[in-house]
Amino acid sequence: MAWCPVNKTIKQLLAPVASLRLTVLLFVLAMVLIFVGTVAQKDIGNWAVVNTYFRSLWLMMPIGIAGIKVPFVGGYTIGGLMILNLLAAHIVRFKLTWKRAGIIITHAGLILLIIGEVLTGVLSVEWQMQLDEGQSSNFAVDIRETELAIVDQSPTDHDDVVVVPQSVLVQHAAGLPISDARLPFDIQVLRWMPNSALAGLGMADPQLRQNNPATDGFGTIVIAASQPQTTGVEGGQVDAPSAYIRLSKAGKDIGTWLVTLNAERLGDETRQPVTVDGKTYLIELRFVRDYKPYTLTLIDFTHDKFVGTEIPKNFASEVRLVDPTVGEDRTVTISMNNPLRHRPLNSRGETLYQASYIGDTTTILQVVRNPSWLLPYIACAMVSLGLVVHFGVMLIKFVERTRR
Amino acid sequence: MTRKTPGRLTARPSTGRLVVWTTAVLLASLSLAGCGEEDLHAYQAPKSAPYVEPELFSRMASGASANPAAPTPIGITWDVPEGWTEAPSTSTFITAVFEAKGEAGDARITVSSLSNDGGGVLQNINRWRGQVGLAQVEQYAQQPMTPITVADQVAGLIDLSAPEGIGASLERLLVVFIPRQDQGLTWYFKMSGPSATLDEQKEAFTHFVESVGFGGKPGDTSEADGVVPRE
Amino acid sequence: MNKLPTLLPIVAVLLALMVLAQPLMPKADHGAYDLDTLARLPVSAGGRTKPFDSVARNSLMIVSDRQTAEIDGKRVTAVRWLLDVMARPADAGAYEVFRIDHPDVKSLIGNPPKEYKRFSFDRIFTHREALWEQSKLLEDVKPKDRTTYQRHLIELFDHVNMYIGLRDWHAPYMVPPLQAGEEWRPLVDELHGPHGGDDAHGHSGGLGPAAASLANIFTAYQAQDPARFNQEVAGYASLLDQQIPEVTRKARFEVFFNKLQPFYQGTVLYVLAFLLIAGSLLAKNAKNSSLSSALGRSAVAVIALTFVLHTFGLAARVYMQQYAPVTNLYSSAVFIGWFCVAMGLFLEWLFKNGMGALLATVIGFLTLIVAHNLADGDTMQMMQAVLDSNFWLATHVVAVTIGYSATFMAGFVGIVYILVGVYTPWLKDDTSKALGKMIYGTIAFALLFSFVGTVLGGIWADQSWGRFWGWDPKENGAVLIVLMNALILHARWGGMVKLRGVAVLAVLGNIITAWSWFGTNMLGVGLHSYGFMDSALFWMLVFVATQLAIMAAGMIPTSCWRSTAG
Repeated sequence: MAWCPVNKTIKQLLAPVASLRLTVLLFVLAMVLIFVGTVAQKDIGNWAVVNTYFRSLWLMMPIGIAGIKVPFVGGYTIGGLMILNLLAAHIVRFKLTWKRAGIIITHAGLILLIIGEVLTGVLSVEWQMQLDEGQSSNFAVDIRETELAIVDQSPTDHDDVVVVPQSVLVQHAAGLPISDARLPFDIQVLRWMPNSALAGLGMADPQLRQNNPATDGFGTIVIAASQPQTTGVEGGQVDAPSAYIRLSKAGKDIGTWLVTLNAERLGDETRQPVTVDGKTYLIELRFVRDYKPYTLTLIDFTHDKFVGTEIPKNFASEVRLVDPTVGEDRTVTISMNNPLRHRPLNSRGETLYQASYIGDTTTILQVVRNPSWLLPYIACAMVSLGLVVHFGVMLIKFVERTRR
Repeated sequence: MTRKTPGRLTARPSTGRLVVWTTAVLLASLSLAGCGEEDLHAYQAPKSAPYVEPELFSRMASGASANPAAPTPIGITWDVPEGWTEAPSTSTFITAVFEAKGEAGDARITVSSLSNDGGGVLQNINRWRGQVGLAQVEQYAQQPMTPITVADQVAGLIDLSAPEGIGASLERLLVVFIPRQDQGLTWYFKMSGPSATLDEQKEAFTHFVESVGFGGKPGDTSEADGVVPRE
Repeated sequence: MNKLPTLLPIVAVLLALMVLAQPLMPKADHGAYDLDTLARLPVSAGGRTKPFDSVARNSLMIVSDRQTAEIDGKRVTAVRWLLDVMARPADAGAYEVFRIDHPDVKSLIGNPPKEYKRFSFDRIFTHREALWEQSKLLEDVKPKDRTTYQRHLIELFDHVNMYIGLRDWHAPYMVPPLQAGEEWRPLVDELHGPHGGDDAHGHSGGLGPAAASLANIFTAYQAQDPARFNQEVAGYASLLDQQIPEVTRKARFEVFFNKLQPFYQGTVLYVLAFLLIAGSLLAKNAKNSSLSSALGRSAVAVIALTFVLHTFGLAARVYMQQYAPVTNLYSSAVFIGWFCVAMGLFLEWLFKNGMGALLATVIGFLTLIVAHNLADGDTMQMMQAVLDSNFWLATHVVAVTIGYSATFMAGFVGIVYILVGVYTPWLKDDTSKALGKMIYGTIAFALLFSFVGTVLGGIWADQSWGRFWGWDPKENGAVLIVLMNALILHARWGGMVKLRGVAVLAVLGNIITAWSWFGTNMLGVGLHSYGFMDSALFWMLVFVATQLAIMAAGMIPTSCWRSTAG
C-alpha cells in the first residue's frame, strides 16, 4: 500500500500534523492555559474564566507582570488541534495489535470527550429555580445574565414582554439610546454597574445624593453604588448589577429610573411602573428568564444539620410537577444525588437538581438541559478501557520480563 | 513490503508545514466564530401577578414630597429621654451616640445601621455575647429575648450580662435590633456600661427604643445624616 | 555462616515493636481520680460522637498546638486540663495554654518576655480591654483584607471563645440521647433550659439521668472528693454501656487510637527504616554485600511492620468516621503516604535494588509530617451534604489520590535518579535503566488513576448538579496531573526525551501535583486564610524551589555528572 502515490501524498501531508512533537506542544499549551485560567479565578468569576479561557479560540492572557497581556490559544483551538493531531496520527501510523488497540480506544474516547465538552459549551443550558414552600413557578432563571424586562400587562390572557439583554445594556452604557420598534420608549443607559450595593438615600454621602440621577421609582429612595465584581474563588456569590436608565418617547423625557437586581431587598414588589401616553408598563432588571412548559410547586423543604454544627447533613425538596404538554402531574422528592429527570429522552428534556437553599423554607433547584450529557460517559468509559488494555498489556509483559 | 517505517516519517516534521496547518486551522475556526450579537426580543408570557405599589411609595405619595429629587424621604425619629446627652459619633456606621450618667459609671447608647442583616443575626448575637464574655450559641433560638414593639414591628430586646466573677470588655449590654426591609437596613440600638447604671437606665432605654419611628417626613429631617430627634 | 542477615531483621522488628508499645504503657499519674474512665466517655462535637479524650486533645491542639497542658511548671494530660476547665474554672484559668505567636498580639497582653509562647486565660482576661479595643477596629475590615496581625488577633478571639464554650458547658454536647427522638445536647441547656429557666425537654421535676450524672461528676471533682467522683464516673459509664453500647464501644476504640498515635509512631519508624536502608545502600557501594543485605532485609521488615501500622491507622479512621479514607487534606496526606509506601514495597519486590524501600521511607515520613502539620483540631470532621456520598468518596476521591501518590512516586524516583547521577558515581547502567523503568511504569499507572479519578469526579458532579465539568480550581488541578503524565509518556514515545529527560519531567510532575493538592486551596487564601495556610504557602514555595533546583541539576550536561551512565 505504501507505494500507492495518493496514499503516500496524504501521509506526507499529514505527517507534521500527526507529529508527537505537536502532541507534546499541545499538552504544554493546555497546561499553561489551565494553570493561568485557574489562577485567574482569584480575580474574576469562574463563568467569565470558562468563557474567555476554555470556551474560546484565543484570548489575551495576563502574564502577571505589570498587567501585560499576550495573545494565547484558547480551549477550542487546543481541543481542535488535539483532535486533528490524533486523527492524523492514527491515519499515518494505523496498525492493529493488542497494544495499539488500547491506544486507539483511548484516543477515540478522548476525541469524543473533547467533542462532548464543545457540545456542552454550545448546547447545554443551566438555570436556577428558587421556590418558597407553597410557591409555584413556571420559569427558571439564568443567574449569570440579567435582562431588562418591559412588561405590558394590559392583554387579558397573557403579558406582552420585551426584554433587553444585558449585553445590549452594557453596549449602550453611556452611549446612544436603545431604540427599537418593539419598545414603548427609548432607553438611554446612563450608568451600568456590573455589581452594586444599595444605600438608603437618607444615609448616603450628601454629594452622592446631590448627583442622584434618578427622578422616579426606587432611585428616589436608595442610591446604587458600584462594587467590585465577585471572583471564582468566592464560590456561590453572584453579582448584582444596577443601572440608571433615562426613558424618553420621541425625544420627550419621561424620567430616570434606577433598575437593580438588588430590588428584592426593598420589598416584595421588584417591578416599577412607567406610564407613557396613558399606558402603564412594568420595568424590572432581572435574571434572564426561561419559561417552561411545566409548573413546579414546592410542597415541603427539609434540611438537616449534623448535631450541634452548621454543616448540612442533607436537604431535599418535595415538589409537585405539572406538565400539561405531556399530561404529567406527580409529586417527587428531589435531593442531593437524586435529581428529577423530566423527559430524559427528549432533546428538550431537563433535569432538576437540588442545588442549594436559603433559610429553612426556600429551595434552590438547578435546572439543566444538556442533550449531550451522555457523551462524556461513553467517552470516559472508552478512555478508561483503552488505558486499562494498554497498560495492562504493558504491565504483564513487564512483570514477565523482570521476574524472569 | 518495502515501506519505510511510518514512525520515522513523523519524528522530524518540517516546521514550515506545521505553520501552514496551524494557520489553516486557526483561520477556519475564526470564520466560524463570527456569530451575531444578542438582540432584544419580544414574547408573550403567562400572566404575571398584578403590580402592588410598595408601602414605601404610598407613604411618599401621602407625604409632602412632590418633588422626588428632594433629599431623604426616609429617616428615623425618636424621643431622647431626660438626662441623656448627645455625644459625637465615632464611626460612619453610627448614627447617634448618647451618654447617661450613673454612679457606677456612665452608660453609652448608640444607634447604628448596617445593610441587610448586618452580616448575619447569629453572628451578631455571638459577637455581642463575646463582648460580655458569654459563650457562643449555636442557634438564634438559644438566645433569650424579650419582645418589644418598635414602629409597629415586634423586635427582640437582648440583655447580656457578664458571668459572675469573669466579666469582659463590657459588663452588660442591651441590644434591640430591627430589620427594615424597606430600607434594606438593620437598625441597632445598644446600651452598654456598668450593670448598676443599666439597671437604672433600662426603662429609659426601652422608652427610647419604643419611641423610634421610621419614614419620617421630609420636614422632620434637616441634618446631613438625615436624622433628627423628634421634639 | 554469617547469621547477620537473619538476626538483624529480627532485632530491628523487636526494636520497632518496642517503640510502638511505649505510648500504650500506663504512666499518667492522676492521683486518686479515675480519669481513664472519664476519658472514654462519649460526647458529641462537630456532629460526631467521640470520647471526652478526643475533645480534650483536639481543643488543646487548637488553642495550644500540643496535646498536654502546663500549670505551675507541671505537665498534665489533655483530659485533666479539660476536666479542670469544666469543673474548676477558677483554678483552670491559670493554665498556660493559649499560644500567641504574633509579637503585636503579645504586646496587647502586657508585653511578656519574647520566649514566652503560651499564656493563661487569666492573663488574657486581665488585658481584655486592650484586646477589645483592637477587636472593634476589625469590624469594618473584610476578611480578605485582614493583615497577619489581625488574623492572629481573630484567631486568639476564636480560641478564647472556644475555651469559654467548653468552660460553660456549651460544647461539646455532653448529654446523650437516651430516649427515642432525642439528640445530643449541651449540658448547660439541661441545667438552665435553652430559654433561661423553663424546662424545654419535659423533664419535669429535675434532670434526666445522664445530665444528673454529669453534673454530679463535675461537682464531685470540684469538691475534691475522689471516691465520689470515681463512683459517679463508673456509674455513668455503665449506664451508657447499657443504653448506647455501640457509641461507647467506638469511643473506647478512639481512646486506644489516640494513645497509640499510629501516624506519629509511623513517622518515627520510617526514620528508623530510612537509616537501615541508607546503611544498606552505603554498604553495597562499599562492596560489603552481607551487611548490605542484612540491613536491607531489616529495612524492608521494619517498613512492612510500619505499613501494617499505617494501614491500621487508616482503617481505624474509616471505622470511627464512617467515611471512605480520604475526606480532607489531612487524610489525603495520610493516604498518599500509605499508597506510596505500598508502591515502594511493590517496586522493592520487583527490582530488589533498595530503591523502592528507600522511597517508601522518605515519602512515608514526609507525608506523615505534612499530615501532622495539617492537623488542627479534629481531623475527622463531618462532610457537607454534597460530599455525603460514600460511594463517590470511595471511588473518585480515592482514585484521584492514588493518582497523586503515583505521580509523587515517579517524581521521587526522578529525584533519586538525578541526585545519584549528578553527585555520586553510583548510577550504573543497570541502576539507571531500572530507575527509568520505575518512573515509566509509575507514570503509566498514575495516568490511568488520575484520569479515571478525574472522570469519576465528573460523573459525580453530573449526577449531583448536572454539570460534568465546571473548570473549577480543584478539577483543573486534577486535569493538570493527567496532562503532565500524558506529556511525559508522549515525549518519551516520540523520542523527545530519554531516561534523563523523563526523570527531569517527573520532578516537574511533583510541582504540578503539589500545586493541585495544595495550591488550589491556597487560591482562596484571601478568603479563609489562617495561620496554617500562611505557613503552608511558605513550605509550598520551599518545595517548588527545591524541585526546580533538582530539575536544574538534572539538566547539567551528563559529561559533568559524577556517574557515567545517565
